[in-house]
Amino acid sequence: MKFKQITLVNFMRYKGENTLRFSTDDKMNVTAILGNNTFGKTTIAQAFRWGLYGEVTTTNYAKKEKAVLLSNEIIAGLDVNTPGEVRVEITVSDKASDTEHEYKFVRRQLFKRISQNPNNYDIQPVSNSRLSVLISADGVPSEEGPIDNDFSRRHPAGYVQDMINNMFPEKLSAYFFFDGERWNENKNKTDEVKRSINTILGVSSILKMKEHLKDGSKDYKTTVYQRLNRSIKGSSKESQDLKSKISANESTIARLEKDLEHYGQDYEVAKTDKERYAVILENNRSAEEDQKELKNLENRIESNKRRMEGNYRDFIQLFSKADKLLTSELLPSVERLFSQLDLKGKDIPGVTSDTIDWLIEHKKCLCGEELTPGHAHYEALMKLRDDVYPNKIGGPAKLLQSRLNDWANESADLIDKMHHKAIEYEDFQKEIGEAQMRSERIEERIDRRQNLQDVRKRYNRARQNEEEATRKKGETTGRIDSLKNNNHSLNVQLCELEAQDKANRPYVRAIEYVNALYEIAEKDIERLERPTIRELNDIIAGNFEKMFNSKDKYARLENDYKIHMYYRSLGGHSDFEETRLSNGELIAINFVYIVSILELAKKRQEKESKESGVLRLPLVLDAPFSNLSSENTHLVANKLPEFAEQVIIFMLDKDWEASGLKDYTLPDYCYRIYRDFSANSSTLTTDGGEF
Amino acid sequence: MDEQKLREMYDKIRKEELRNDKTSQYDDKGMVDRILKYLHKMAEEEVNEQ
Repeated sequence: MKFKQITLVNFMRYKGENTLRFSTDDKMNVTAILGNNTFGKTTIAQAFRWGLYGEVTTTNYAKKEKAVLLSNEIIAGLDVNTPGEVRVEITVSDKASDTEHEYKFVRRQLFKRISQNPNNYDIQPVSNSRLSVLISADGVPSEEGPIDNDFSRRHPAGYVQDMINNMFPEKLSAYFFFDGERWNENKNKTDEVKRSINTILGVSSILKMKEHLKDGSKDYKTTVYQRLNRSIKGSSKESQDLKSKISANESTIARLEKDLEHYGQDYEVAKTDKERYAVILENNRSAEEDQKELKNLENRIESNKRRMEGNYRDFIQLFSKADKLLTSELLPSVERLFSQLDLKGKDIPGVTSDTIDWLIEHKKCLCGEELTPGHAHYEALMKLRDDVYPNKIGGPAKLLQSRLNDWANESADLIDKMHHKAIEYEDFQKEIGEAQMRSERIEERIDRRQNLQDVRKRYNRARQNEEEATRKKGETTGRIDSLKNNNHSLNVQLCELEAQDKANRPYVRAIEYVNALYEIAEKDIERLERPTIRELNDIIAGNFEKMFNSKDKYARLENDYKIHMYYRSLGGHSDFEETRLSNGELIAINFVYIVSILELAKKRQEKESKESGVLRLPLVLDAPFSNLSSENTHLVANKLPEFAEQVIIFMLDKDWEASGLKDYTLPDYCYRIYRDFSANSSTLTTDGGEF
Repeated sequence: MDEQKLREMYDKIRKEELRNDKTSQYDDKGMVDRILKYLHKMAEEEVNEQ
């Protein structure tokens, strides 16, 4: 693929129509455009970019959103109602087969002035730029005529832009539209290198596919895989769970129905028993009451007998203490005897007649007075001797009197109690007699063979059993109904899920596709990437050697996607890396990388079909040697025609001399730019280099 | 899974990615949308055939 011609119409500083034809010769493949700084070399490079991609860039490669594309001289002649047109026509030649195909791409855009003020040169686009292509085969235009990018009856919108991007991928344009200033910067180009290699290999499309299928990126997370998964409602696991629940419920229902049958049987048995016992009880209603009364009477007799026995024991106990009663008849006589004694006031505690006799015998009173007959103390004691108790009677007589009183009282109490017990005994005896008489009467009336109390117990138990069976039947029936309802609801859900499962099937299948496609993509990248890095390094090594004509150094693309330079041997070290590169070395290495990338692309094209995304590109270089010494300029420049399909180079006169490119340039393809400073415009002539 | 069919799908999606890589016609969301519709359509056809 080679550029054949570019025509600039009112583009930036180029007023009117300016055409550059490029050499398409296989060997003399260089076209040179010479001009001093600020004369308009870069403007032509911008024209390429705008013509192909509809945008221009600054030297920092940011888009120039507000770049003034229309020539200032043209703007000056416009008014607000008359638009002016910018146009770039790029003709591309493809001689891949025997037939030469030409593609003439035309991009145009209308602008008009914003203000009627003659000093205001601001303009605005009337519409978006329009792109078209006219395809010719061996100089014969196709019958279809020009194809518009946006309005074609035969082709989809974007068809022409698509064609350009297939020929000259915008993502690789940094290489084939080489900006010398930019590449001089020693900055990390890892991502760009990776991207360029991936683009050449077509790997970038596989990486994108992986991103879209499953990986996502920092800008978006919602992948095909995620969206498919979200589309699946419910799941076969839920269906399985529901089926398990339904099955478990059915087992429980079966068990409960069996229980219910048993409860029904229990109920029937209890009911029959209850009815049977009820009949017996009904038929013996009075007998049952008699039996009850008889039972009560027997209990009462038994109880009274026990109380009589107790009463008897109490009586015996009282009687055992009644020994005093034996002497009770003597007591009144003893009392009478004591009443005849003068005992009042004669009692001096501790003094008896014996006491006084002892004092008189010893002739001394207790107070110390001598006792002699005739003395007052003696006489007083003798008189007292007549009043006090004789020593053998006084105390015991008084004690006996007191005891006699106690006995009299106790005897009266004992008699009372014994009398009371005797009455109770008689009462019990009487009650027992009466009860026995009544029992005898009832016994005469009833049939004692029939135990109605036992029947009553059985009746009550049967009734309880009947109630219990009824309760259990009710509970079980309730549980069965509840489980059946639950199963009905679960079955409805299951039907819905099964319908949903049917709807899910395409999504599930599509997820399987995603997984399988992702796996293929991973294998493809593996297959393409590794051998390519090896291949690229071989090319880089070869080009480096050619360009530097050096055997002692080599360059290599490492895993960090940066090119490193090494000395084969230095100071006893082999493969010693040079980390402090000179400006010239840096530029040369960049060139090596650029031409190596383009060469790799060329080799790939020979191997694979166009469908794989492999490229074959020309090289458009804007001031590539501006920072190189003359020696290095020559070193690099004279290798370019060999490496690239076609070289279009914008440069200063001084570099032209040093480059030695004259040997690869036909006289008709060496241009010079002239600048009219008064009108701030440039023009092109073909009297470039001296031949 | 039918390997040939899978490879055809792979080539078709890759071609579309390649095309979009060059033209930037669709953003990522747009591409995800297109791939999703394509795969779902293919899966639906296969499921209906069964």
